[in-house]
Amino acid sequence: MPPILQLNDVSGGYSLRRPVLHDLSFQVEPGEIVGLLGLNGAGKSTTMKHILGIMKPHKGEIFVNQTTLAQSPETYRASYAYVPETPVLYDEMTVEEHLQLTRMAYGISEADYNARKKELLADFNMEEKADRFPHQLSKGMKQKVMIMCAFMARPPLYIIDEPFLGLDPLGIRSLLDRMARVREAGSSILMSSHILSMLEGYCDRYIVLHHGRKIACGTLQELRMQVKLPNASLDELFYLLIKGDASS
Amino acid sequence: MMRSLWKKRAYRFWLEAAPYFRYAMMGGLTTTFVVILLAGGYGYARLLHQFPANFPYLAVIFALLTLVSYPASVRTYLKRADLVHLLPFESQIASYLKPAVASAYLRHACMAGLAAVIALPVYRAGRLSEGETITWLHLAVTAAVLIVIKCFSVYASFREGQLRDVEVRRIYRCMRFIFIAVYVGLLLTVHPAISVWIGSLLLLIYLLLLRLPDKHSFHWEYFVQSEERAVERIYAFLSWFVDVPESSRGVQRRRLLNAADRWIKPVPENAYFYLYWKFFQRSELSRIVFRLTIAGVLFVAALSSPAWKLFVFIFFAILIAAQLTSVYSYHLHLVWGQVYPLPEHARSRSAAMMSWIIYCVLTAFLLLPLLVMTSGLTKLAALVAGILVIAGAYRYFHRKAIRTFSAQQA
Repeated sequence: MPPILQLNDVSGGYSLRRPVLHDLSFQVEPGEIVGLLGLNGAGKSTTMKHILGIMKPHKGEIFVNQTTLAQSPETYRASYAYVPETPVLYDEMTVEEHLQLTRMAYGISEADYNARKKELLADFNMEEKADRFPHQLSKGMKQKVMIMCAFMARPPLYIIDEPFLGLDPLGIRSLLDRMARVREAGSSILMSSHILSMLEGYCDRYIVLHHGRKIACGTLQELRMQVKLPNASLDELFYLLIKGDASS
Repeated sequence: MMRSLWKKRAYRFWLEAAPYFRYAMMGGLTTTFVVILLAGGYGYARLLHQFPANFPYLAVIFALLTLVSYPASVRTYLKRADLVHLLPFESQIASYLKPAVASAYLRHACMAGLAAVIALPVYRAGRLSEGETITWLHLAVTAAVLIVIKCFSVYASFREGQLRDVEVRRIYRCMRFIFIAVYVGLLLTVHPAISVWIGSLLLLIYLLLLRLPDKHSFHWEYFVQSEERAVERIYAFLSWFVDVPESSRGVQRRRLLNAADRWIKPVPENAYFYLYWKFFQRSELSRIVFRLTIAGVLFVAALSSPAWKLFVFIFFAILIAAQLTSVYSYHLHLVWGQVYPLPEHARSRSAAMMSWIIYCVLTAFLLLPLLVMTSGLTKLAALVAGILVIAGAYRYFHRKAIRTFSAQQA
């Protein structure tokens, strides 16, 4: 099966003279969860913005579901759902209305919408908050709205940036369960997080970024082989990879 | 330090807003002001010189003075960050608020004085037209009492802000409105001595009742939100004439308008329409255009001359159209517009259509008194004016939307 996401030699950033990403290439296969790791400022969010089409690469190509943004913006965007690091909600709309907006954007039928809405609100313990405005929600609840909107769409690719920030333990559990379910259903997830212990049990592969460059890529086992520590945790591997790259 | 902080903030706010006022004056504010002044002045002078026999002057003045006497905002210039940085200085907050309250008293007293200067000569002319006598002393006492009522409203409104329970605050606000309305009603209909006694007793009762509920020592969140709303109102007004910076806007639920949701088919083509409908429904904008429509309907209905009716109809129709386009400036940088699979160019089309449909409904209301209260040629002229205004607005909304969004994309 062709990859759901493919980056070929992508360089990009806010300024042509000072690119943030350097010749980045990787792919995400269908039914795969890939962890994007890196320190603050490593280029994780910038990579995601380039994939989303919010930023345009200086060079290279990005394919989502075998399409570039230029070829077909609507097909490209219908192929992913995004959970940003900081919740972005409209002050004027309730939780339920955000779900309704997502429904409209992705053209979800009424029956599917009602079933998914009920399930998501229950899973994330948000039934009583459905009628609330963003200013009446805590930060964790806002993050839950973002996650619910993404899972409402059910696209083949999920791009999730730091999803655990502010989530309560039940929210984290619901998110992880749902991620496992969408993987089983054949969807893929590209996710970044600093809570590496959380990623360790769920990701199939990892991509380690440092200063906008890919310094390592592979399964947990492959990363262990790379640093020659067969029993190292993801935390230890990450530390060694970054330290090694910094000293080289 | 706290006292000077308020003054510094007030100065900084107006320094920041001043350029927008300057641009607004160049962008049509001056013209609008002059037109209102000339047309209003002419109509006012005619009203005083040839007082119409059946003019419902008492009802109009009562409504005007009540609506002017009730609002009583206090500009605190508090910010969200104060919940962290000023909170430790809560014990000194009184000295911070002293100039805020003093300036509110002065501002509102001037407003009440101005309303009295405009309304009371009409009141006098109305009383004289009915064969009654009214002394200047009577008018002076009425004006002074109106200023006192307004100052009472400022004090009461500030105290209401400290109430702990939001429902209780609503009840007290409602009660304040009723008490003020009764007092103004008494002032206009009963002998001044009696009205002052009864009215003052009412205000005293209200102040005593205000002591009963639980209060915060200082309700930070309420006053920060009130300040945000005040800033929003100023920029909403300026947005009629110039592009103003996007700020956080107050949100009102307005459940009644939710009924319209069912008319929006949930398909990708309508996603932007739905979004802009929600922006309109929940923002200050809907309140402003509804008020303008009601004011327009009342003015059109109150005027006797068909030509004036038509002029006022067109004037309000233009005002409402100009105001409605300010919805385009809401969330100019829509992250979800770039992320969701929405049809290209749907944004400007949807925003324009949403504004135009609302405009059609409001214009129909505005047209109603013209159609009901006129006949023959005037009725036909009103109908033609209505159609022309709606057709012109269609073009205006679309062009303005395309201009706004393409400028933003560029």
